Amino acid sequence: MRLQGQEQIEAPIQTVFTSLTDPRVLSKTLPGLQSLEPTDANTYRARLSVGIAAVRGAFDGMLILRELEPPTAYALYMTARGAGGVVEVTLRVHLAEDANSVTRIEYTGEAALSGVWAALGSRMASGVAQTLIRQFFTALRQEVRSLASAATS
Amino acid sequence: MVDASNLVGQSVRRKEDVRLLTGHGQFVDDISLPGMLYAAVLRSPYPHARIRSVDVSGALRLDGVEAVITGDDAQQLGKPMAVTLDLFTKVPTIYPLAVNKVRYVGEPVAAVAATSREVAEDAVELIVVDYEPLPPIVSIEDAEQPTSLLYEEWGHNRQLDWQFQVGDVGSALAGADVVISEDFPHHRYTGVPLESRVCLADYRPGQGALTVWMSTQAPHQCRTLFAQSLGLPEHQITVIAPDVGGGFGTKLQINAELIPVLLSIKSGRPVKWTEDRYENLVSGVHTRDYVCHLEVGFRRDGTMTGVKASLVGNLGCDGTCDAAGTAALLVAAAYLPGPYHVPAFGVDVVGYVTNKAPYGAYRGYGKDIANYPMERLMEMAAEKLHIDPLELRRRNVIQPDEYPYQQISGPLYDSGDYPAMIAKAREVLDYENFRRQQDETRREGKYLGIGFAAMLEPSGAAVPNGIFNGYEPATVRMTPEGQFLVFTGNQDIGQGIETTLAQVAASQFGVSVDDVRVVFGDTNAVPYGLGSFSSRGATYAVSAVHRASVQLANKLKRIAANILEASAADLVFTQGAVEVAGVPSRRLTLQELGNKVYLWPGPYGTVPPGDDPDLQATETFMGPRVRWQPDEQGRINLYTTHPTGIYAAIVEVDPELGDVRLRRFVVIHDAGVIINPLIAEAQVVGGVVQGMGGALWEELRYDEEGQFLSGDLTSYLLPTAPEIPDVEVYHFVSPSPFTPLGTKGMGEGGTIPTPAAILNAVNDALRPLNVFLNDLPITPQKVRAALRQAGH
Repeated sequence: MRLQGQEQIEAPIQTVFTSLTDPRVLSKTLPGLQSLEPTDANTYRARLSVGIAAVRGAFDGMLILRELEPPTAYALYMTARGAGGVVEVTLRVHLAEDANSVTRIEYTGEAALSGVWAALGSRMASGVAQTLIRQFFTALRQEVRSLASAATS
Repeated sequence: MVDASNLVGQSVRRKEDVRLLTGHGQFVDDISLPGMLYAAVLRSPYPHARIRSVDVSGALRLDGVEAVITGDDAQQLGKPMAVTLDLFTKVPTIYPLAVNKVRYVGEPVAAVAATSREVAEDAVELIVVDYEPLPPIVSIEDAEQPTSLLYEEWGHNRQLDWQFQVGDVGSALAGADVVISEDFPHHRYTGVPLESRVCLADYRPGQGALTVWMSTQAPHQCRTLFAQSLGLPEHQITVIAPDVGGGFGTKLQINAELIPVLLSIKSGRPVKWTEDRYENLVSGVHTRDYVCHLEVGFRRDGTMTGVKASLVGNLGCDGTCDAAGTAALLVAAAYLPGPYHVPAFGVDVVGYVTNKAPYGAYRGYGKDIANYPMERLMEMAAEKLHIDPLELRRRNVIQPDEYPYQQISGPLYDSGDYPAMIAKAREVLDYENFRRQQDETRREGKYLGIGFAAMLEPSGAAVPNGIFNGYEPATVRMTPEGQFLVFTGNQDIGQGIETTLAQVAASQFGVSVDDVRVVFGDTNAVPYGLGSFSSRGATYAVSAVHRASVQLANKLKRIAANILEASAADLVFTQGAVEVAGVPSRRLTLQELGNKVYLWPGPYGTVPPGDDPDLQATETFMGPRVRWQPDEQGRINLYTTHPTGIYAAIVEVDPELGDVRLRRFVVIHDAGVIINPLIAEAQVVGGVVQGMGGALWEELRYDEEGQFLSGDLTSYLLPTAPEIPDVEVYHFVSPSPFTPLGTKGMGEGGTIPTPAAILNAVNDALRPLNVFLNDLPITPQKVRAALRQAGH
């Protein structure tokens, strides 16, 4: 399944890049994330619990950030296993800041489902992915705002 | 006066329906035992992967978990899964739980028995499996190359490789005026029984005895397979199949049921496993999934000169132990010539293993594979030769005076009358008038099409080397109170044998079907018979019950004659009594007769010398013309009876939406002597609807990575009532000379020709738009894509 989209965050590019690649921020913003422990540089062990429509359950996974080109680009690789199957996500993320200090984020990549997720979830997988991504960016915007207000106060 | 054969041919209402329709049926899931545990199964998310490790410690720590098993336990507690059918095949060494490798998405890897289903499912989530994914083999091309091997020890992925030729096919095709040649692919689909697989296993360590209640079509063969797959003595095993909610061929193996059995052996407690719909779709048996390349030569007058075929099947992980599907390709090869005169014939068959679910049986079992390419090709040939498709078939079919007919590929056809059925089809369809209407409605932008398929349904298989070898015993017994018990190894799976077998027996004793109880589905109660598969009921079980009834009726007459001081030859059974024909005052009710033999006074003095008081008879029916010893051409004959038919579909295609609507469906059908027209018609209609499902909606889809995409009934689309037109059924009767009552098994006929008839109709509808569809199911997307490609 192809993942593609863009989002905007009203914050400077450096702030957004730092937030997107900061495990402390990710642990607050990734939907369903229960724990995120570093195991290596830019490599984390993740526990997630996700429940949307037929796709629900606990996942054990790995999150790797790589090809980091601060503050304009990075790649995200995630693999998560649950009793129902395996989800693998590969994303390329590009950031750009416009004249109003608004950062535009473009992402493109693939998500592969297997096992029960593929058999029951394929038809609604893109909807589920969009929902999760929307939840993530909503949380991220809040987090960036609170970081910004913490910085200014 | 009741005629002895009066009940055969009558639409007696089904005895079993009172029980089933009032909620009093008893299916396996309705049965509970004290101390019973519930099973849940961990399944592979990968189509092909090595198992590095399985850690069950988390599951074992969960409260309520009593046993966890993996591939290691399957090896220690059991043996490799026994083979169901091995005909020219490679048989893998596999276990009910994956050992070292997984070979399809949904393959069982571990299983849990716990105090509730919920706890068992939670425990499954705590099992950690470390997989090393391997390249998946999904398509026939992947398997041919091969990009990887399912069974490394084979060195290739071919499970079946077989060739056969009679006559000089090369010359036959070279000498033809026209050769039609096409690849006919067929997608994967299957039977979806209302009741999925359910199994309750009770192993008693104290006695070393195992009792298995399971939803199966073949209890006795399952008992043998359990014994062989577990290394248990067979006489200590009992298999009970109570009410079964549909089989369709999909319940003829024990691969899944071995899991609760192993859990019961490990825990020492009864264990129930109830398969959910996802499990049934992902790991219940799959079928079809083949490509047939067919070349047929014709003279200008439309008669065939020869048939050459190459059939390649995509068998999934296995079709010999996990399920019994591989040999369906051989049945297809033997029946490709169908109902036609074929002067020369050659076929190559290859079956590849792939990383898909096991290949099993489903209504048709290769007879559908024989039918689909040929009946599609006949309509293509008709167009090319400018001969009407019904007329083209009429010029090639076997004539009624040629039966019994030795087909070039081996089968011996028993009886039939295709020319009369073709004439009937023309009349019922008002065919010439329909063609005129079709032209007129096309001018209005309505696209009506008509498609045909001739049907040949080999029924009652007797296949060597496995559990489907084709014979059937029956015991008929009279009680001291004068009612009857029929003990049959045939299995009730919803097809009505409790009524039809009762009709056959009751006819011999002048009693009603309510005076006959059909006992089935308990290996401790009934003779070792072969259950329900291959539409064998009306070929084998009916014949055995008839002969056993005749034998018992003769014994009862001898005893009654002794008591009545009459000649047995003068006695007749009528209205629950035996009497001297024409002298109603000299009679004994069957209750009086039974009482006299067993009680008042008892056997001495009532039973004549040379007889005994055991009021029962057993007969075993064997196909009189089955031939396993190949003739000089290498041909064998496996099927005893062959119903015939001409099927026609009328469809309307909406070119804008790509939607196909079924407008009429006409079945001209001949299954020899019909025991119960009500049941026979239901068999035809049910089969037709399953054929319609395969033609238009049902598909077991995999993506190119081998992930299964059809795991529920919103992705696997079953036909529902609004899509289905009235199926119009017309019966012909060409009695089989090979069964005592002239009956022929007839459960699969509906499914066999229906996909070809429907796609032929769709192509007929779209002919003016220069569209040719060749893929099933015929989805609106495919219809629209073809129309777009043709510029519409």
